[in-house]
Amino acid sequence: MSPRPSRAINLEEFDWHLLAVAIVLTLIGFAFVWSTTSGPDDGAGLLYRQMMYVGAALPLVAVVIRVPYPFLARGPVQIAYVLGIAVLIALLFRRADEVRNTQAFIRLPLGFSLQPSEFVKVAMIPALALWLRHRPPPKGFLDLVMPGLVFAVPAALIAKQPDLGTTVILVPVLVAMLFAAGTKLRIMVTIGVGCAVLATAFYFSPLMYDYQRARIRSFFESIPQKTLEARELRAAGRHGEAETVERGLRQLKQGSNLQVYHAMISIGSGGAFGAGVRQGEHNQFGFLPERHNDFIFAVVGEELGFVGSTMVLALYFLLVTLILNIARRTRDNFGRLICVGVATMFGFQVFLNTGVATGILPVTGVTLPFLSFGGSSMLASYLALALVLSVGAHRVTVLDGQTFQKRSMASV
Amino acid sequence: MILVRLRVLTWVFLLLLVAVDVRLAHLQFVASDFWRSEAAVTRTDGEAVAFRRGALLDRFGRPLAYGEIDQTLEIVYFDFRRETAIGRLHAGSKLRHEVMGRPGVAPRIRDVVARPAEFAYALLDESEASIAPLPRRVRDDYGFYVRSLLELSPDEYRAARARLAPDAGYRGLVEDATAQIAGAVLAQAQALADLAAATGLASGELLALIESKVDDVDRRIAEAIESSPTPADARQLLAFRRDYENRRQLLVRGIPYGAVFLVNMRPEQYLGIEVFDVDARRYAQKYEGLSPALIGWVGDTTPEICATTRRHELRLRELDALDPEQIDDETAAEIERLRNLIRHEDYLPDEQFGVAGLEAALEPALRGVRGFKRVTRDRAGVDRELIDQRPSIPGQDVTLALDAELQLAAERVLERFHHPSAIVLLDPSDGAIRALASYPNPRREEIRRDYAQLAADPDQPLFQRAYRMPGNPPPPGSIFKLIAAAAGLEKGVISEFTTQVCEQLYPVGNRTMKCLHRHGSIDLKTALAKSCNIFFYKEAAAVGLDEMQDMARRFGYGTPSGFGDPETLGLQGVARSIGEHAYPFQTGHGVGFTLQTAIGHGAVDDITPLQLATLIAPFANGGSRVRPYLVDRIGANPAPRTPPQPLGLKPWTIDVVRRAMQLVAEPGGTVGPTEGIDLRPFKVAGKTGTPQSVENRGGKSVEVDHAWFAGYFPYDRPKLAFAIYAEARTGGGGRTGRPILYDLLTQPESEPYR
Repeated sequence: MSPRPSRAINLEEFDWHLLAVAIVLTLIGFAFVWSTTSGPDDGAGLLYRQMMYVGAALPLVAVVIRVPYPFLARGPVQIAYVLGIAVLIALLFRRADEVRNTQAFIRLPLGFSLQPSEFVKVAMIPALALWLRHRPPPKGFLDLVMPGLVFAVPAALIAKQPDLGTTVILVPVLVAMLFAAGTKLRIMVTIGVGCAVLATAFYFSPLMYDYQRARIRSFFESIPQKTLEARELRAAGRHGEAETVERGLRQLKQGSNLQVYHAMISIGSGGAFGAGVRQGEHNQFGFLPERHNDFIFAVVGEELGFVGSTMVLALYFLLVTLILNIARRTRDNFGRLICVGVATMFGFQVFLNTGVATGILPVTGVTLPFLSFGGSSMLASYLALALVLSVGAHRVTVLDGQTFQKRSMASV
Repeated sequence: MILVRLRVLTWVFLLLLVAVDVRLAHLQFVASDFWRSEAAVTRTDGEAVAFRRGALLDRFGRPLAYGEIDQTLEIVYFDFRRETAIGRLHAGSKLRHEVMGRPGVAPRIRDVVARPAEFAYALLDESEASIAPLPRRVRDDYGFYVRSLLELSPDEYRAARARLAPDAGYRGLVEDATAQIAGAVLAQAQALADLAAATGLASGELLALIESKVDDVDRRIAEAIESSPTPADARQLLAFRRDYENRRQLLVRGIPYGAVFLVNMRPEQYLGIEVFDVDARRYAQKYEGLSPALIGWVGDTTPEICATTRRHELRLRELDALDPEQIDDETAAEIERLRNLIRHEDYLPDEQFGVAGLEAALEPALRGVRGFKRVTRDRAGVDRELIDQRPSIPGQDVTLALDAELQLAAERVLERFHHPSAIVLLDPSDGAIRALASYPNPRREEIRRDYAQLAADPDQPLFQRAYRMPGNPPPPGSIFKLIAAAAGLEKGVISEFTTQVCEQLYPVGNRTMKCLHRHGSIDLKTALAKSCNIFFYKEAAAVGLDEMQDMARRFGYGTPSGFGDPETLGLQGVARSIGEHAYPFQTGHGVGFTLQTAIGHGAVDDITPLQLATLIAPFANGGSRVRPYLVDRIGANPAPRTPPQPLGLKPWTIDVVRRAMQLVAEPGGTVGPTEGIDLRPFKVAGKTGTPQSVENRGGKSVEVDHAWFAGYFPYDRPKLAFAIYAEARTGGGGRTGRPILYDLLTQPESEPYR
């Protein structure tokens, strides 16, 4: 017998704090999207569009949280998952745009566009939960085949787009959900070690181009340190060596590193308290690429400084903790796994995004949930949030064996 | 157990976010200063600040020419070629045509704009196989243009090529890209057409201008590559190339504000096109025609002039590359000096310099010093904030001795006279030149445009007769009698009351020398007023050639006029001295030669109107030699000049000649009242001259008369010394000079000098 969901929202159980945190983050996002609407790459109207996206997302949230989430298991999740994969496959055949990296988008009228991978990412979470919910915790590798497939199909399709960032997010989501589903630690460790070995092997394999390798290496090199080094070498009259170092430095400021370089300049010049919203010269002068989008955290860093950025990070931690709290309160495996999946998705997206902006991770192109400009990202984030809120609001009576017996007896 | 696992997850997230926060702390506290300085380096830029060229003013401060900061439209090759659709497509197509030998004519920017899709397709469709055998440099360039048109990074391009080349995939990519490129080209062409319209050009004109500049750089780079075949030159070549590509080149000077606005407001549409402030020369409209050849003009700096700048730049680069240890005080000083020169003084390609006339002669004074400013720029290159600056120093305003109105009046008079001629007016007390009018007097633009035609004109309009005589200029003729008379008076062989008899003919040896009329018994003053030759023949016989030459030299005859305080004026027209003229083979010349000298032929050589006016000045001012000058003040400082030098003649010598000169406008004088023209009310004192010279007219030697009339007025209180010259004029000095002077004196502008 499947758990019987309560029909109405349980307002006492509804997690207002979580919604509040998300809305505060959204408002902070407004402030910084507004901040990026000045300057030469004028994005006037970005703020209004962002508001419009949120305006579209909130009713969606209202609808989704009214739906008792176990109902999702009876079709919507499966449909959404299959539909998402179908769209991704359909996109594969858009040959011409392939190289231009625009395959990830579906153009809509009025200049809007949709990024299906954002939604597939969210759809994968309940799909995985659906598979894992009633099964005993995976004990062997054979038990991982199906969840692995549920993960691997969208992951491969998204990777093919190529949208490395979204693919990278899916991995911890899978791992965390397996972990929360009670997979044996032995298996988890094996997976971890296996991943590390594979990554190392890939790094040294001929599959990886030299330039990619160089790009990865460059993250472990610090620009300030190298600058100092070059200066010292020059002062010591060792010009040949200095030139080598300078060449490396130039590479650190070129190509895909250029964005990170400017992001680090932005954040670094923010100092303790920042320049104030809309006052950060480096991003306001247009040096920071994608400042309304992937690099919005650098704008936060420059304009709010260390204190402000730490507070934003703290808000994200609060968000993740509140979601995991719901997971803790929920005794239904399906709801709990959804929460873990969403929390991991948000948590790793924040980590990846801020890690890139601060220069500790390679450029992946992940948005900062609720802050970054973008309709797909905003809608997907609110959708995921709504799933979690729904889990919190619809407590499912889960009966253990004893109670089950009692209840059945009583009903007889 | 599940709760433990959830707690573990919480800790994992906390750990990750703390890691980010630690990094943040490092960036924002420890390394903050470094990143701030990096930010400053990225955002700040140094730029020259234009100066205003000094004005040329007349003696009353009327501006004849002045400087004004103007906006110029310039192109930066590098940005245009590498960042814009048209630039990339044209460059790629050109390479394809030139290096890969594809058929058709060399594509011009116009063609590319007209048929972008066609060119784009052809360019992108080249197979890998046809690119591979090209020299590396070309391949690199070609690859750059192709992949930048496709908007791919090198890696992506390589990947796309590798993955897609064998099948039709690349073709599909090309087809899609072609449409996109064509769109970008059309958008840019439209933006450029807007700019052309705002600038006042036809749209094709702007494109043609851009093309000529771009081609010029291409050509220079190609030449450089050809001339440096060894790999050792490669680095130098690269530096050279970068240098050339980044140099700004002038497109249009003096663009209207609409165009400036367009470029500044939409910089992303006008990559490679920039607006700079540059000094521009303006000539006051009213004085536009005021002896342009004398005032001169400015022109764009030539490559030759910029070569100095370039030499300095190269030297500076050389020194900058030195080890810090190798730099001693001397080298440091040189670096500083070079940097200052390049930044503030050396000519830039968009600047102008004085090419001709006073503009050229006074260049050092008129040219200002460029300033330098450091500004904060945004990504689009728009100035946001001024960090510091050294303001430019405007050039010095130069005040001329000229009276612009008087000069215009004189030019008007000559214009009416309509025959090669000149009027020089100068202040006899100190030699200040008030007017240097000549006819013909071609306009500035005529000279610049039709130079060859003017040079071939038989009237020799390029010669400003006032100080520069064409061909075989005449001697002063009878005006020299003033000198001869002074020599005689000084030596004492004649006096005011000496009387001679003029029988019109005067036999000397086997020749008979003539006078115009039979004057009968005639005294010195009348002889001068009527210009009797016989009187002076007889006098010269008594004075002797040496004495006359001596006197001429004392008056300054034949010494360089010292015209223009800047002797560098480079204007011809200094008479060779009669001393130098003395024919060596005629040392034993006969007495005839001496007699001829007395009436302004013989040993007397050619002279310019300016020199003649200078020669007359001592008679007007009571016996002091002056040096004519044109430049009165440079900035606030008086220009150096020679004070008048007393000739040290006996007091009566000058006095007698002066009184004789006063008779010239009286009845009977050579410019006496006739035909309704009466110079007496103007108290003109003077002397006429009608020298003959032999000219070649249609293969025949013809003796032609030239007209001279020099003197001063008013004779009781001389304000101006004048010299009037009319070339090849039958009618002589009197008949020609009288109406010209009369016309001039009746002009309202000459009122203050009457």
